[in-house]
Order: sequence, then C-alpha cells, then structure tokens
Amino acid sequence: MNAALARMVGAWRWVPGFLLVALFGGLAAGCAGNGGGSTPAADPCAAGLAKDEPLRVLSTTGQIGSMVDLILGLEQIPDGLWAPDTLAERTGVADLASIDAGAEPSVALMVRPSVAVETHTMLGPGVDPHLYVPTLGDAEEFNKADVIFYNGLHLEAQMLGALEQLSGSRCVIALGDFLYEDENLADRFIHTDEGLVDPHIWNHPELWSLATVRMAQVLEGMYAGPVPEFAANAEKVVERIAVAGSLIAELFAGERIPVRYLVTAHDAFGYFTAVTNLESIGLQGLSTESEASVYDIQQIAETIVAHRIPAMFVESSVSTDAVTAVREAVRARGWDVRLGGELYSDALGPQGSEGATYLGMLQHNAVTIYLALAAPMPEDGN
Amino acid sequence: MSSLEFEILVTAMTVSAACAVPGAYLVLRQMSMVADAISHTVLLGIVLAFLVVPLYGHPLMVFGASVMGVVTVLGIDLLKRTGLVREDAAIGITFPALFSLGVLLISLLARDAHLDEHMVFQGDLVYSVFQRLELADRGYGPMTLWKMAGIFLLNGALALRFHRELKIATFDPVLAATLGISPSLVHFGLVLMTSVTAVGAFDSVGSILVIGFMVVPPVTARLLTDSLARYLGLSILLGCASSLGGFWIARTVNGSVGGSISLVMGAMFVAVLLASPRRGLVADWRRRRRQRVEFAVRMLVIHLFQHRTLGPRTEENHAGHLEVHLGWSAEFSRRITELAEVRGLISRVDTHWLGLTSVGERQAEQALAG
Repeated sequence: MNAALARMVGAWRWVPGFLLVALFGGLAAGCAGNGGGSTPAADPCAAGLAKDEPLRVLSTTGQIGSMVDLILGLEQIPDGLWAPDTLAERTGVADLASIDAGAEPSVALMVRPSVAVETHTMLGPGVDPHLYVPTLGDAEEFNKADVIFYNGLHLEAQMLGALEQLSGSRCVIALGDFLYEDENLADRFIHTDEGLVDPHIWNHPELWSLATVRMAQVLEGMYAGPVPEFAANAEKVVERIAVAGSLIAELFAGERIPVRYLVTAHDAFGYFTAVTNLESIGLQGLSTESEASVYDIQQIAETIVAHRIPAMFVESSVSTDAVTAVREAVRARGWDVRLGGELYSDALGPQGSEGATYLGMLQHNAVTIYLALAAPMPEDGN
Repeated sequence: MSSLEFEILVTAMTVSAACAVPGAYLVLRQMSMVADAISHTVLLGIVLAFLVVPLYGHPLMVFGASVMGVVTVLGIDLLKRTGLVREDAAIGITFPALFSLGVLLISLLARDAHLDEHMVFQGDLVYSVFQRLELADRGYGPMTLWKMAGIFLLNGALALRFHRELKIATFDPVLAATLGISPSLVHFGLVLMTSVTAVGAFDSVGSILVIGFMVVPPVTARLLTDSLARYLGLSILLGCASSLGGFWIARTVNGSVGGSISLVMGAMFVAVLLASPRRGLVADWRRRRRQRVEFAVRMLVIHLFQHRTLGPRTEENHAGHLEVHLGWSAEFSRRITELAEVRGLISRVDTHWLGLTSVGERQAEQALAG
C-alpha cells in the first residue's frame, strides 16, 4: 500500500507543504504587521491625542456620518432646511410659520476646529444596512479607524462580530445601545412582541439629538485637551433637530390627517409614527431580511381597504415588490391606494437630493408623508 | 498590499483548500448537491440550538448545525434506499422539508428575531478577519484562519490515512464490501467531514462561496486529469488560484471578495471546459472534425473501389460528381480528394477522373473486410 500511496501522491506531494508554508508565512506577516503582541490600550476612547495628530472616524450609516460631519464642522446644515416659512408654503399649513425657527442661520454656522480628522461613511445612499455585503476596502477602513460609530440595536446585524472585536483596540460606539441603557429613556424605545428593540432610532428627533450629543462627547474624549467646538456644534444641530421636531408635531397634529396609518415597505418608521401619533404598518419586519408572507399581504390589504387608507410608501433601500403586491390586493378589493412617494428609511438620499443629509432626509420624509396622507381622499375606490 | 489584506487572501486560500478535500470526493460520488442541501438544513439545527440556548453565535449552534448535516444525508439515504425515489429527488424532498421546518420554527417562535441563517452562515471574509485569536494578551492573527487551517489539516490527514478506503468505496462499493471496508461508514465519514467543514467555513465566507469552493474546483480539476491524486491536488490548487484571482479583482474594483472569487471560479471552469487538452469542447470539436475527414477519405476510397470495374472514365469516378454521389459540398470534396492524393491512396487520370492506387485498393479491401 505504501508504494501505491507514494506513487499516487507522487508529483503532488509538495502541495500540502506549499500551502502550510503560505499559511504560516501569512500568519507571521499578519502578526508582525499588526504590531505582534497587541497590547491593548488602556481605553481606546481616551487616546489622549494632540490636536494635530490624525484622527479617523468611521460611521456605518449615512445618518451617523451626516451628524459626525456637522459636529466636526466639516459640513454646514443646508440652507432652508426646516425653515418654518418654506415648509408652511410647501405643505399649505399656515400654522407652521408661527413656530420659532431657532437661531439665525448665520449664528447657527458650524465652527471647524483645527484638528486633523478624516471621516468615512460605509453605507452609501440607497444601501440597505440589514443586507450589506462589505467590499475589500471596507476591511481597510475598519482597520484604519480610531473611532467607529454604529447604530447598534442589531441594525448592522452582520457587522456585529467584527465591531465587537474591534472595540478592544478602537473606540467603537453603538449609539442605539448606549441610549437604550439609559433608564430615563426606556419609554421612548419601541419593542416588538418578542422583546426586540426597533433599531431605526434616527426617526425619533429626541433620541437622535441625544445620539448627536454623545457623538460630540466621544470625539472630544479622544483628545488630551478640550475641543469645545464639538459640543457647541452639536448644540446647534440639536437645536435645529428640536425645531424639526416641533414642526413635525404641528404638521401631523389634530385633524389635518384624517386616516392615521403609515404603510411602508418595512418597519422603519415606528419612531416617526410614535412621535406623530400615527399607526405604523410595515410590509416587512424590522429587518428587511424577513419577507412579507402572502397572509401578511392580504391582512395589510384588508386593513387598507377597511380604513380607506389613501396612500402607501416605497423606500429607497428596499425592493418595491411587496408594495406592488399589496396594491394589487387592494385593487382586487375595490379600493385604490396611491403610492405616496419614496421615503428614505435606512439610508440617506443620493448626493444633491433633499435627503442627502440627516436633517434633509427627515424633512423629505415628513413632507412626503404629510402631502400624501393629507391629500383629499377620492370619493370612492377605483 | 497591507497585512490585513494579506490575511484576507490567505484566509480565502485556506478555506478553499479545506473545502476542496471533501468537495473532491462529493463530486466523484456525484453528491455535489449534498453540499447545497447541508447549507440549507443547518438552519434547522441552529433554530433548535437557539431554542435550547437563546444566545447568538453560541457553540451549540455550530454543533446543532453539524448534526443536522448528518441527519440530512441520513434522510436522503433512507429515501433512496426505499428504491422508490432517485437520489436527486430524495435530495429535493429532504432538504426543503428540513429547511422549511427551520423557517417555520423561526416565524412561529422567534418572529422578528434577527435569528436566521445569516447569523452564523452569511459570514464575510472582510468581517471574519477581525475575529482575532488572542492568547495571553498576544494576537495570533484571524481566528478563522486557524480554524480553517485546522480543518484543512484534519481533512487532509483523514484523506491520506483513508485514501484507499475512500478510493475503493467510491469507485467500487461491492469490492469495498468484500475487502471488509464498510461503504456506508466511509459515506458518513465523508458527510461528517463535509458538515464540519461547511459549518466551519460558513461564518467566515458565507454559504454560497462554500458550495462554490466544494464543487467548482473539483469539477474543473476532473476535466484536466484522470489520476485521483492529481485530481485532489488540482482541486486544492485551483481553489487557491481562484481565491488569489478573486482577491485581485476585489482589490482592483473595491468589491466583495466572496463575489469576485465565485466569479473567477466560474470563469475558470468555463475556460477549462473550452480549452482542456483532452476533455475540452475545443479539443472535442477538433477531434470530431478530424474523425469526419478520416471517415470521408475512407468513404471515397471505398466508393472508388466499388466502381473500379466500370473503367477509368465513368461518371462515378469524376471528381466533380462526388458531391452528387456522396452528398458532399464542392469545397469538402476538393479537400478530401486532395488529402487522399497526398496520402497516395488515389491518383488522377486526366485531372478529372479519379482512380485508386494499389495502396488505396489495399486499404479499401481492408476496410470492407474488417
């Protein structure tokens, strides 16, 4: 048998050896490259940087990245966002104009401190965070980052293992999980029947303000000395979000919207509907991984017909198939539900669109939902 | 190339090598669909494990998934052994049943739970490389790399140790039984190896790529060689080569590493399918063409031989009439007559009439006799 084995393995005997050498070579290189014995820093979130030392900030979602850019003073809030007058005109709700607009735009400008900082956002416009497939470049971005902000609460489900590992050597902050630990905020969070937390917290202006403040604190904590500009910028952003919150509350208050249901492609608007006192119906669950069943679709169609819901919405990062199926089912029952427009649910809009920043996304969604739901209802179906 | 990228590359190559060993035998035993079946049914194992210990990524999940792999194949075999369904149908019945049971359990018991095969089975090289092995405050590179290197060594050692059993049980189960080798023991040993390898690799490279690693390189290698040892070695080498090529593409376009590797494996298979020296479609096409020409020459010789008594200048012997009598195109007739002339089988009389040489006559006699 040994002779047969020797003949068989014969010319290819070197293959396992070659692979082993490649393997251990790789390991050796890997260990050396990563500083060999990785003695973990005492606290990666208190790096004690001088202001001219480079700091790399990685944000998973665009909503986070948008806030980080404002806090660092790299971007300004686009002109005319959440301006009561403009919104009153767009929506035809005159009462909006009476709401306090906060500080003058000139005072509300973000200040850029002299720090050497680079930012990167992993999930671009229209990208679904639940199902994201990383590129090779993302590995490098993770590796280079000093601070990593992610939404948490299982939004970036597939990244969690990597993020947890990175938290040993880098400052990794799960904003949603951080807020969730605060007992005073417990009633703000939405749970499913199974006890899971809704991760789409940026649709709750108050929660996202607190997340913004937290981001500023973490960023300042990276430096040895104080960087007061971060907190000051965050305060201006929070003020604008508060204005947005008042405007949203006024817009959706009272009798302006007779049918108070918000039907969307997936359960991303639980917080928005909680704030506006609407009822949220998502065709898919909290995660876009779960698909709407035939039963779900029929149930939702029944609800739409029963309550005479005038419009439903598609999302920029979710397939429109389920929405189309529901529309067909509704038509079959003798009612027609309009498509109210495209909402930005899990990702920001493309560059240059209204939804390209967090505040813009919030405004686009609020105005789109209001206009579609407040529109006069057709007399009857068809 | 940064050290991180290098680690991703080496991990991809290690996973491909580890998958190629059981994959090569699965392909030989016409069980490649089993890899696909296992990649689905492990979901049930995960859900069951989750019901016992509701923790994401708990080791019990991997255990449950491995056991479910074996259960799957057991189910397929039992169905097949009834003699009422063929193996492909048995796979088609077993794995959707087990998979849908898992999906049902999720929707009944853990709806909205982010518990699904993605948790353990939709891994990605980019994420897995950050799971480091750390012992006594020292880093030793990615955990996946060590895990898959271990599985590769284990698979390799098992394949070498039991190569005789595997070979005989694969190619001649009856002989194996008479030699005292239990074919079903070998079978389930291989299935267990496949399950462990698959579950180990799923959370680092994702299930689709694992199926690809198990099936495509061996199928490609099979087109290139008939020797079992070379086939095994080539499977491993081709897997590693695809990883290298895919990594390079992902690096160039900043894309998904797994997606690029799958693409390269597919392209490699198509290239080998076309260009393999013996089995390839191009070689096959050329062989067929050559055979057609050989056959035509022989037909021409026989044709002339049959009509040799009619005299040197009859219609049957006219070069221009071959098209009518043998149904050839003018171009093809010209080529065949030229070839026959070059080979000294026929000679021309006044350029237009063909006659057999003595060599040609002998060949025709042989062809008719044999």
